Amino acid sequence: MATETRVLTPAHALRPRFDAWLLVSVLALAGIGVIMVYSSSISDAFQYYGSPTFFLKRELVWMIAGLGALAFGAWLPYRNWLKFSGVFAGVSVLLLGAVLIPHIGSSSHGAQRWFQLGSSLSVEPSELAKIALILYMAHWLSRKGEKIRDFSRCSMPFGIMVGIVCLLILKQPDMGTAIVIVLSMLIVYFVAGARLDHLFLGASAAFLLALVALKFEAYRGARLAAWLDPWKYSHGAGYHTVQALLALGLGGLTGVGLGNSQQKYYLPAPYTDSIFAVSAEELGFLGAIAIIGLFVLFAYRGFRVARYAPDDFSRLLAVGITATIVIQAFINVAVITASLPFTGVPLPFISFGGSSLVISMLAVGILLNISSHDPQRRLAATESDTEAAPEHEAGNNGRQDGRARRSRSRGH
Amino acid sequence: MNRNIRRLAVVFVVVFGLISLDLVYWQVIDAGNLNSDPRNVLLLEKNERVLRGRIFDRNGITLVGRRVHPDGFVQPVYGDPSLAQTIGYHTFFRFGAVGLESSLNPYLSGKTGTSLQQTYASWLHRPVLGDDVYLTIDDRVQRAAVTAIQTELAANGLAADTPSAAIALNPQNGQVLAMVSKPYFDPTCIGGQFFVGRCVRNIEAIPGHAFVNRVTNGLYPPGSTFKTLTLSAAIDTGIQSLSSQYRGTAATGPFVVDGYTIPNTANNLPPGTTSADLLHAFMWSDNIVFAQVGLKLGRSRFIDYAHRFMLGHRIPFDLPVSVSGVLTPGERFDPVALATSAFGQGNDHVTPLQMALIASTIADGGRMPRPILVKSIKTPSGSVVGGDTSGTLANPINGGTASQVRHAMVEVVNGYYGSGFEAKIPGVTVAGKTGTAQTGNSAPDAWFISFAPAQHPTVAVAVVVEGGGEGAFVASPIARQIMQAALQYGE
Repeated sequence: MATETRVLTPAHALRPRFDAWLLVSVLALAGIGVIMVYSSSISDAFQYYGSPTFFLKRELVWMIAGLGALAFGAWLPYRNWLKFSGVFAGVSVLLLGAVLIPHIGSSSHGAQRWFQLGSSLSVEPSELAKIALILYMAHWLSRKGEKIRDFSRCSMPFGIMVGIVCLLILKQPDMGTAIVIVLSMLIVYFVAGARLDHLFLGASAAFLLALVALKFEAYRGARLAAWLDPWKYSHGAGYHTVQALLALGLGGLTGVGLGNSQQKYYLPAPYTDSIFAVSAEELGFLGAIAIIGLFVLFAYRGFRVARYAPDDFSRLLAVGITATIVIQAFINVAVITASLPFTGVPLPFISFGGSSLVISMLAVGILLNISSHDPQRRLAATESDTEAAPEHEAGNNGRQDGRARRSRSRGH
Repeated sequence: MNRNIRRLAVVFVVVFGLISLDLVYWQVIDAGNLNSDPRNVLLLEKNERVLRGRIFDRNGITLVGRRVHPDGFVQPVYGDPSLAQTIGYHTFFRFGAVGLESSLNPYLSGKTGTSLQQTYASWLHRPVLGDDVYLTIDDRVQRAAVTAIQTELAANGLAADTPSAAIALNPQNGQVLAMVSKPYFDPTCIGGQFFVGRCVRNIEAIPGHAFVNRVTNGLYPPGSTFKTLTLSAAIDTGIQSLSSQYRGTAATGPFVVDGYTIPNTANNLPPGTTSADLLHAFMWSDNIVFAQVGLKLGRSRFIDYAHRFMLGHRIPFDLPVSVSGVLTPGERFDPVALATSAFGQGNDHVTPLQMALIASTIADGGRMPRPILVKSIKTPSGSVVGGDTSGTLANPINGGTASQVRHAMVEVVNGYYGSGFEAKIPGVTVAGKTGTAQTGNSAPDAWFISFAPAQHPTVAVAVVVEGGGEGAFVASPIARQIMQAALQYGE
């Protein structure tokens, strides 16, 4: 993958070595997350664990671990992941299988998706599987070149691999994570240059699989019916949706004020899957739209990192990471606004949740590392060590040269 | 690849745009509907943080106070149980509110908040301030009414919990001074409480339906008090005068209508009397005469006057009022019904409030005042935002008719062998009418309606004691004591 012939333009001397806006959006979301986890968990924490700060303390510990993972991801040159992508994928598939075995995996709320390590630490292998699959597929697809349009040598094996992971996750059952994985994999495959008819085939297969899954678990059908008319099932499958809508309504434009949510007493999982509803109630539409705005900023910067990535592996990796996080955010919010049938997906960086937070932060670290390999940034960095960039050329930097790079990347 | 990434970015922006529109819908456009949805329990919880308005009597005596808990919940504090059904109660969550606590809730909970102070409070997420309500009730008259009922029930050998009702109002402006419905209940265990189940069961176990406000929702046969309406109609239409004569069996009975015999025991005449003019028939409460007056009026005029006196109409009030009437759906209004309805039996069914308004109409020269319970409503800053809705409900009869009926009612209390003699007040001319309503139970209901002073009335009263027997003996002394209190404390 040739990138060294780019027309490099000097940038401002103070330009950081990585995408600062990306980091800012994630840190802002994480900060909001800590506050909202505390606010939304306070009553459950007191009621069930005897301390109002029970979840806050754990969230802070996870956040420190997450920041460590982010720093590690940003520090480790992304190419190192290439060597381990196969091992990671294999291990995570094994873990996905192991968690289904009784007594090894632990179950709660009718799902078997955790490894219980000690009394308060539990790990979700499906979170690990998300990032492992992205790493592996980015690596695998980046080596395919023109063969990417070949059904039997690329599209079919790709579909089978994704399918196996999804089936294992559906077995837990965890439809939300399976949907996130399928969508992000389709997006990665699309960006890699797959044929649209193959993509369509894959999407259809996933849809059929979803229909079958719907038949297997009665509650999924009930959730679908409740989505169409939540008020009719407001004491059953529609309860969650109705309570979430009430939270939105109570919040109104300006919100009821931080800590004043009343719906957190009624919403299931107020500090995980429903945290957006609590946030929208307390911070109002303005607060909710700010959170969405931060995710849009994250998406924009994430895709920008992908466009400026030095090679196909990092490009696909950046797309996969960005897409996974943004799709989760979208599904979580859309469920709260009753735009999608109910499915439990955490809101990245904001929902309480250890594995999810640490893995997401690690993924952001990898994104930051990729952004620091933007050749333009590297030049800026080296120049800033010597002298400031010449003024007269400063106007010619930035994305004007994106076109040249794109044509080149299309050329191989 | 990069073109695909750009496409992807556009798709994501569009998708997030759509979801933001969804948020706009739920949080801004439809928020009002969501918040007012009755299935929204949160609405109630929000209400409990309102610094709820208090309720005072007309002189500023606290009837419902409030206690603010450290966690921000505001609990109304109730007192006088004799006002339990009138003021009602406000509960947390499940049991809602009844009585004035329900009908005045928009004020008490600050929902009418247009004042700057309330807007300010809502912007700063401060507790909303409710308006204070001043009732027309005079606590002293109210207590006099309670004491009078207790005293007279005991004096007549009736059980202390005998169901009964009394209302006093000023006929000039319709202001209700006192309202008692027995049995009542202690509202403190239900109003402002979270867990009211046991309390509700205890109240429901009280014999006689303590939750019912008999003044506004008790429907009774009015007995002879209804002759006031029949007399008014007969004089107002000009078909009869107070001196119209009834002699022999026309006064004594028995009287046969359509094969139905009204026995001579119903003539209530003094011993040895065999004739009466209409004035004396009213004084002595002669059913034989009034059956004939009813038939002379005829079906349509009788019903017309009933309507003029607001029977068959919903009376506007601060509490829900049951509709009184002379017609019962599904029952024919035949001559027998007409004759018996004319003296307050038959199909007649009235609320004590309705009868008090009939007395008020005679008292105020033929004008029926609109009854009111709220004197004024004041914002926390002291400005008056509403309340006084006094006015005229109807003008059923002309002033001349009213003064003749008033004269007849004065004679009921003061005349020879007048049935309302127990209502006499030294130094004050009282006008009234007794009633003894057959209900099919062993003992009839005792009724009395009255007003005083007869020439310039400031108080009108209606009293009913279920199973109280003769109205003359139980109901009229209760009415007398209520009138005395109202005259003593009146403005």
